[in-house]
Amino acid sequence: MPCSVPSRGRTSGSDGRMAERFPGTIIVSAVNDPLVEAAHLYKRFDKLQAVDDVSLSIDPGETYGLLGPNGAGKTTAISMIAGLLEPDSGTVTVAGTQIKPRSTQGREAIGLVPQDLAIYPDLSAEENLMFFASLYGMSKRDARARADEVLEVIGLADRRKERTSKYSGGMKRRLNIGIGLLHSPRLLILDEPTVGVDPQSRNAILESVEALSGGGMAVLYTTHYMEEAERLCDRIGIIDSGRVVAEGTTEQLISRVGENDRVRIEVTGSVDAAIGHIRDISGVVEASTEDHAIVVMADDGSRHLPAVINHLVDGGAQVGSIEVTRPDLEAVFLHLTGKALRE
Amino acid sequence: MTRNGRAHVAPKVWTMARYNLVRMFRERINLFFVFIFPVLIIAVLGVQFGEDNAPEVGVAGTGEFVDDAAERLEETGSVEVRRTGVSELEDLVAEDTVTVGVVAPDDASQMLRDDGGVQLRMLLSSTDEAAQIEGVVTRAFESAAVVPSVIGQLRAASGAESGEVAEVVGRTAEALPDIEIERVLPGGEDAEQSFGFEQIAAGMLLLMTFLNTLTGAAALIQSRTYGVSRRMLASPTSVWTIVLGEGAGRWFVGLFQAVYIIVVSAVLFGVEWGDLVSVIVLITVFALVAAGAAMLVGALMHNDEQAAGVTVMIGLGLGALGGTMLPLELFSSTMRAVAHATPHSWALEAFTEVGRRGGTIVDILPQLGVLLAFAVVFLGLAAWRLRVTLTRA
Repeated sequence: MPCSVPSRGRTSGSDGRMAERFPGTIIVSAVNDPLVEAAHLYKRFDKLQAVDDVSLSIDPGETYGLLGPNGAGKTTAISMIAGLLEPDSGTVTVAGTQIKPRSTQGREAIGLVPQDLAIYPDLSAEENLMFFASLYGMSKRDARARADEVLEVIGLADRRKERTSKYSGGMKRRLNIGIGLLHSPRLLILDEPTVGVDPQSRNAILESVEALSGGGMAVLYTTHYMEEAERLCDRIGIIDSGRVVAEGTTEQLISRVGENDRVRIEVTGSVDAAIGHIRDISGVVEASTEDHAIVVMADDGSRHLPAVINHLVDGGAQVGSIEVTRPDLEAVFLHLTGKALRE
Repeated sequence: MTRNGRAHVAPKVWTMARYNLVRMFRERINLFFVFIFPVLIIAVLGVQFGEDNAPEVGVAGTGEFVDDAAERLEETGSVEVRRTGVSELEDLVAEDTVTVGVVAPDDASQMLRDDGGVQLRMLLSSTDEAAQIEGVVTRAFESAAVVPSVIGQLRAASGAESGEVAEVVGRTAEALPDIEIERVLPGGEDAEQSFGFEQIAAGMLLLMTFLNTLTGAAALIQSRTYGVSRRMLASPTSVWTIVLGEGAGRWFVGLFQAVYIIVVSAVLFGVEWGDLVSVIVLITVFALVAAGAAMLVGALMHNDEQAAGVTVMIGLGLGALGGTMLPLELFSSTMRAVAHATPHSWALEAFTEVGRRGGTIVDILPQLGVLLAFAVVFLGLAAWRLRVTLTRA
């Protein structure tokens, strides 16, 4: 079920609270110019066209989701945006600076949280943060102050001196994100940050991301979890086989496949007599059979369910399990690509 | 809050080097290889080559002849002489404390001058060295017997006064020309110097410095496999800075290792390394070569286990080929030419120039130039390879 989607370019509503929670974050009030502009990115590895004409733009304070299955080209795309990978063609501009792999220009504006953990296990959380702070050119005093803030935010302040090899998977993930936040980037790139994380840590990570975008930081978030994209992202780009096949808010994307619910009822016995009657119910758009089940598309599945069951029982069929699915990004992905998100 | 990345290369290099060292010394085994192992090696060499290790020859007896023989034995440099009584000497030989013992009659000098023979009793220990030392001892006593025997023979033949004969023979013996023996090796080098402790200490310094620095390749591989290097590249940090930062940690280790060996060998074994400035520059540049090699191996290898085997193989192989285990003078001319493909042989030449021939930094400029070229090539290749590795998808 789609949850409420925040509006783009949010301003002062939650900024005060977020700025208090993340004192180092940048509050951007002007949203006229996109912070990130990626134009016509292409990348080929041997015979595989990993990224195929990907273009996207992200405003300050916006959370942009790149949703697609494993191997869709998400990581390759963000590697080019982060300046780690040279595109075959296309350009990336972040905060007005063109990002090029052979130049360090513009990197201060970007915080990268890679999919795999990128921390030293033989250093403590504090040492890891101080190490990366230095690479971003922060003075020792600033680095220490900012490390303190980040450790509070990621909930590791009381275990800051422990070697990270002793941390749980969730704690390591949080530190992994904390390093990306350390220098208060204007764009935070999170590459599937919840993969392999327990539900509790996952929720904590999602809450942190929500708070960050509220603080004015632009977030580029890749995932193959539809629920995360729906929950976090102002706009979503659906990517498959290296191409962004659709882009928009969750509502805009769902509207592309219609607003109908999908009701699937497992049955035994004949449904031939009933199916004609079901199609005649007002509000039912379509009814069809699928293996040992009948699938009904209707504007409000739950409301029409009793009438549908009555027709089936009257026709001599026995009703088994019932599933009502509201339209979501999974359905959008299925509609656009002909395959499930997690295939 | 952040500053321009390009302008702050030095602090970044220092940070990387510092944390590199912190991570290295959190592994206790590395403490052993940096601090303990070189001392053990030096101690073993010290015992093997130090002056105190010469076999002892015990001499029981008094008189001019015995004193002269003992002095001749000392002058050979092959043995230490211990003057003692007969019964104590027998005990020392029995327990192998003394390799060879000689018992001479107290009136041996007079017996020789009286035209008589002298019977010496030689006690041999059960050590392997006893048979070798026996020859040295025999020659020393035979030499010492020449003058009193000739005095006795001449006095008997001429009937002259004993004191007069002794004076003539003594003058004659002093007037005889000395026979000097120069031992040389193929290539013309002095054998005594080539096998000197300085030479071996320099070889060990180069071997250990290179080997211990090279094993730091694992640190770069770990940074890569942890994903930290790639993340570093996403920051305002260039590949060159990463290579220099990671390499600087190894360079510190190499430099420390070399200084440590120089100090320990000088203090414990009296090794003289020569002109201090030249030695400092030389070990600085050689440690840079080793750090460059470590970075190159770290950029080429895929995992620590693979690197561990390769670094030991390369470290020992180049060390052996470069003359750190056996003097280059013992190599054939072809192998000596091949040895110059290693940085070790150039550094060893420079150590020889400074330590043995009293050379200064001007005298070793060619060797320093070659070593710097090695360092630049290694670091350049490492930077190129690291970029290729880190910027793959």
